[in-house]
Amino acid sequence: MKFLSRYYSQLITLLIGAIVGFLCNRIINGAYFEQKINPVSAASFALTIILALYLEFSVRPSISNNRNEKDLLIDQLKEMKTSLSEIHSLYISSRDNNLTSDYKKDITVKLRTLSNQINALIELSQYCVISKSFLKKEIFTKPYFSYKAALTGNGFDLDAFVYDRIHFNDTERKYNNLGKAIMHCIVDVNKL
Amino acid sequence: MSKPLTINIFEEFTDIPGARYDSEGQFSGKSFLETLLLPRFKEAVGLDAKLIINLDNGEGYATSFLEEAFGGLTRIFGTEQVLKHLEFISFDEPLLIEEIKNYILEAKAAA
Repeated sequence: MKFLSRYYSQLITLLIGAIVGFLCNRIINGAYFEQKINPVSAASFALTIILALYLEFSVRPSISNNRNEKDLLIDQLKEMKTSLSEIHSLYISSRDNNLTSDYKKDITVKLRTLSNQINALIELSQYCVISKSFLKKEIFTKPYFSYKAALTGNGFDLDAFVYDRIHFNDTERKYNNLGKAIMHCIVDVNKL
Repeated sequence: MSKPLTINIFEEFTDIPGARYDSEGQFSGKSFLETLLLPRFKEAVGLDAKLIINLDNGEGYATSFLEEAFGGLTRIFGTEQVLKHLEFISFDEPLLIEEIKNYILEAKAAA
């Protein structure tokens, strides 16, 4: 029934064509079909039909589903990249200054947002056929935990807490690692 | 195992967990360990019960707080005992549970 409703117009066209063809030699004087079948033409006809059915029912849905899944995954990865950039902007702007409690709160809350985006990506990837065996949790969790530790470990809650140069360079490296993991994943998802 | 014990950090400790030590600010990981986690964990071990830690509703947890509290507990009781008795609830931030378990496993080396 689904097939009939989906291809209603094509089936009607096919039916009309068959009726016209059948009646052709009766209506138009002198028009007739040859009373022989060329095996090459018949094989070509059958192959064309099989190829058309294969493309319509197998290849097209697969390409369409893959594109949708890729778009979903890439959108989620881009959101993660945006959150990561926001955290890093906060971090850069606080360099060499005592961190205020507002900064600390912002960083903690934004880290939680990023954490939840990573978790959402991991859950999403389990539902997507293309990424089931591709996206491993550790790709993101390891650099994320490491980056979070660099930002909020040590004396983060101290009134006089400053990201000093040693921490600064370390945190930059960890930020880059997480950023790279996200960018690599975007490229890899596009290749699927 | 007996009926599980619980700790709700938001209700019983604070909604703004601090850093590692009291000298770094209020509601530190060490303070949480000493005043709440350690006594409740000892009780759970004595009763052979689970201790369920509810992490929801807070402002977010700094690494130093989590490491000092749960890593600190592991340095006292050992990884096996801690993982046997502790369970976590974190609907606000599900990855937090994995993060804490990492600190518990890493603290083993320091024990």
